[in-house]
Amino acid sequence: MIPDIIFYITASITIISAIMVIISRDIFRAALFLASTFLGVVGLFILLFAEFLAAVQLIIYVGAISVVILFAIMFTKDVELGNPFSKFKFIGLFTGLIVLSILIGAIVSFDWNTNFESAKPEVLIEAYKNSIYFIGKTLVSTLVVPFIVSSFVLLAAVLGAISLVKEGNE
Amino acid sequence: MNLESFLIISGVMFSIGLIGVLIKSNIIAILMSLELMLNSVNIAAVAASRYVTPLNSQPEFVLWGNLFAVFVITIAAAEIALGLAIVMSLYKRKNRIFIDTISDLKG
Repeated sequence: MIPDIIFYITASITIISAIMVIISRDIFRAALFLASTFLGVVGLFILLFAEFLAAVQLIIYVGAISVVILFAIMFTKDVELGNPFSKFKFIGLFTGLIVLSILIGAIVSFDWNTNFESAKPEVLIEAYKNSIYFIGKTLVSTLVVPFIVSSFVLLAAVLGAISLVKEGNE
Repeated sequence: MNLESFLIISGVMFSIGLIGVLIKSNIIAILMSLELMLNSVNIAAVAASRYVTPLNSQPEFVLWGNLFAVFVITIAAAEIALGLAIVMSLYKRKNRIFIDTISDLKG
């Protein structure tokens, strides 16, 4: 009962903030609503027993990405020009509503049978009790190749960002 | 609070992000909508791994959706760093960050 109430509150915060991101006139306010959306997603992760992801979301998205976006908005002086729509707004809205109706229709009409015989309860309890241990163990044993590749992706992104920003200074 | 409700939230958030990418003209607003889309995929992955678990699985495979989301977050961080670097570079060259005024690649 109480988790349901918390779920509805968190979900409505997330969705309303996400809508405000795209209808807000001021891009600075849109960035603040984006941070509020990320906080709502943190709540949803906690409701899904994903504490590690909730912490990562709080540190990376709310703490880093929102601040970087705010810095980028303040460095570019087009803030006072606002956050206008492009000339494709009706086509874009139409496409988005079609995708929304397809997604909602597929989710509602499919029979999500989650009551089948699942993993043993003791396995589930052990997994969710020591979730950080199992995530770390899997990252360096089974998924070690994607882990190393993602570190190279981050390195390439940092080098690319530095070279792109430096290029204009010369 | 079941799998469907989380998937519906994820789908609504994905569509909002898609609409934002398509109808906005400020590049930073487009990047923000892109972040919404990546976040909604994370919610769907984590919810699916929470409610649907394979039979006779080891504890580390129960958390497969969390691992998927970790990689998505990594790629999202790389994407936002590169995207904002491109925005700063464009602003230095053109003094504008609206997509209507950037048409250098137009044939």
